[in-house]
Amino acid sequence: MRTTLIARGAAVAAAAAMVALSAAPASAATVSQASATALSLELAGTGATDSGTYAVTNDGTTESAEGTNEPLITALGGQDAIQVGTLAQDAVAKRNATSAACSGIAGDGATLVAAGSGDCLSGGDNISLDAASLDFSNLEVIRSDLFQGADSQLQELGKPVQDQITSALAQLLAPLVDGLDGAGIYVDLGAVQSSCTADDDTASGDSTIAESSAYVVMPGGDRVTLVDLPVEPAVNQKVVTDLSGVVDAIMAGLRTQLTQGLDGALADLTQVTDAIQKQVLATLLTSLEEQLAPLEDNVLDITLNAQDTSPGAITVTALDAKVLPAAEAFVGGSLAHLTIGTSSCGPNSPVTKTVVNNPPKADNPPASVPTVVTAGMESYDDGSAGRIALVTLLLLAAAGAGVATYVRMLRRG
Amino acid sequence: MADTSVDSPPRLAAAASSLWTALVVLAVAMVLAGLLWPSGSAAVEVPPGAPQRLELPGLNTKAKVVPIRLKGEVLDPPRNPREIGWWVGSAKPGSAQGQTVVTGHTVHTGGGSLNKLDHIEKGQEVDIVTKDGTFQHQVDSVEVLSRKELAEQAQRIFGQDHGDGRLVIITCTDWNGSGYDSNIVVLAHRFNELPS
Repeated sequence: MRTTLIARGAAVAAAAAMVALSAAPASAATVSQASATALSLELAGTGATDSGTYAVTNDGTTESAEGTNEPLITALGGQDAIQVGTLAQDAVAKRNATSAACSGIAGDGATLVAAGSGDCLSGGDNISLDAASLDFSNLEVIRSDLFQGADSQLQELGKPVQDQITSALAQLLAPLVDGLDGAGIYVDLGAVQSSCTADDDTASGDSTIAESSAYVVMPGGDRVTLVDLPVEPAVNQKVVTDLSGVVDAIMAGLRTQLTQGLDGALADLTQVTDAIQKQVLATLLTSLEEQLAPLEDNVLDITLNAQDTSPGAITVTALDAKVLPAAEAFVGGSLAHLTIGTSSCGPNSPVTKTVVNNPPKADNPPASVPTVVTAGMESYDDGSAGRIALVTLLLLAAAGAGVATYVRMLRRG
Repeated sequence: MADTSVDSPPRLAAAASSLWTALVVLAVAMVLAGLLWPSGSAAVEVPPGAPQRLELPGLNTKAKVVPIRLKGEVLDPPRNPREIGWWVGSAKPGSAQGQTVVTGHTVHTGGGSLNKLDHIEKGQEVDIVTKDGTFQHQVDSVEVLSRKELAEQAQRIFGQDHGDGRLVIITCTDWNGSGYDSNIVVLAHRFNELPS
């Protein structure tokens, strides 16, 4: 009997607990929510790192936050791609079923702006992001089929000196090919950021990309621009780029080296006629172009202002860049996937209110009014200082000229 | 013929004298009329219109006004901090209902159109100029509100179902070293209108 009572009591307690648990979510329903992640990096071979996510929710009475809205670039461990800059991620969730978020990155000196004001960052220097180093160590300059392209008669003629030709060419081109290994892909970024807002019905967002481009720096310091990114990208704007400019630069270097150095390199080989030279070089250059061909496919896949929407909710990513497999053979120790400025807003829903007696007659809902006024700036440069300096310089120049003329006249007089 | 030529100088002198007298009398009459009926021009009604210039004589501030829109619930002044923004969702100056909302930047390093707004005092005059005239206002209150307080009181400050055409001027204040913590809100009622 006692056992039965205990069992019944436990069952009642369990049922009560179940009821309480099932009721809990209703009382703690999310009225509004938003989140922001400034930056996420996935590195080839070494894993991923990110700035963390700052997420806020409002249950109709209080706002709760998780994560930090003051991320530091130094917290992005295990990577060398980004060393300096200003990260921003902020979000607000209000009890009136509205939420806002913003996130992004800018160079040092940028001003942070709270969420709800549109952009998160203002001003700042540009950041040079070391996206990938190019590795040409697998490039075979002299292949075993170097002489196969020549006709049989020429092959016979050149046979005794094939090894010497191969050696001379390898020696001639080695410095150039070895030097290619210092090349790298860089992404130069101004302020890159996204923002979003949501109410109980709709959500919207946008991204801005200030003065950004992707380029390759060749070992000699030459810069080959791959693509300039648009400042105000369309929704889900794709930007793909290849390295054909780099291939062109490499091939041009090889041709110049061969043109300028070949006669000297083969000077001792009197058996090598112009015909042999021509055919061997054609085979060599064709082989190199074939090996570099993957770089002429798209190597960077960039999506700007990527927007993922669902009813009442939106996720906006300002920049999403991937290094495509086409480049894998030539890209080492690199960034595999980079996302900058991911902001999410909604879905939001107003608190279900208890029905009151004699509810007031429904009026037209109040029109939307501002709840935030962003009427503050740290500084503003309208260029007047430059103009004043220019005018001052002109006045000084004019005064100098006047004095000089005066002195000259005195001397003549 | 000879008589006429003899009599002409006195006649001309008399005519000139009478004309001079008439002009003096007319001038005195006009001055007296101006003194006795100084507000006559105010009787001409100035229609509501989009603001073109905001003038704060007590702060020695004048700024061009341009229309701005809401972005979500954010009111962002014009990019040029020397300009003032008029929220197009608010009443036009001269309207009998609603309130005219204008906002301008405070720039920490100087140069903002409303940098001096924190020095304005109750009772001072604020004028807003449209293409048809000038609406003169007198400051009723100066409030400093945190961001949270502003959001909570948004309907009172910006709502268009009340206000009787009053003017609302707003900018940022309380620089904390990296941003602004508060807004300063000036409310002013209209007391006169002057046709241009």
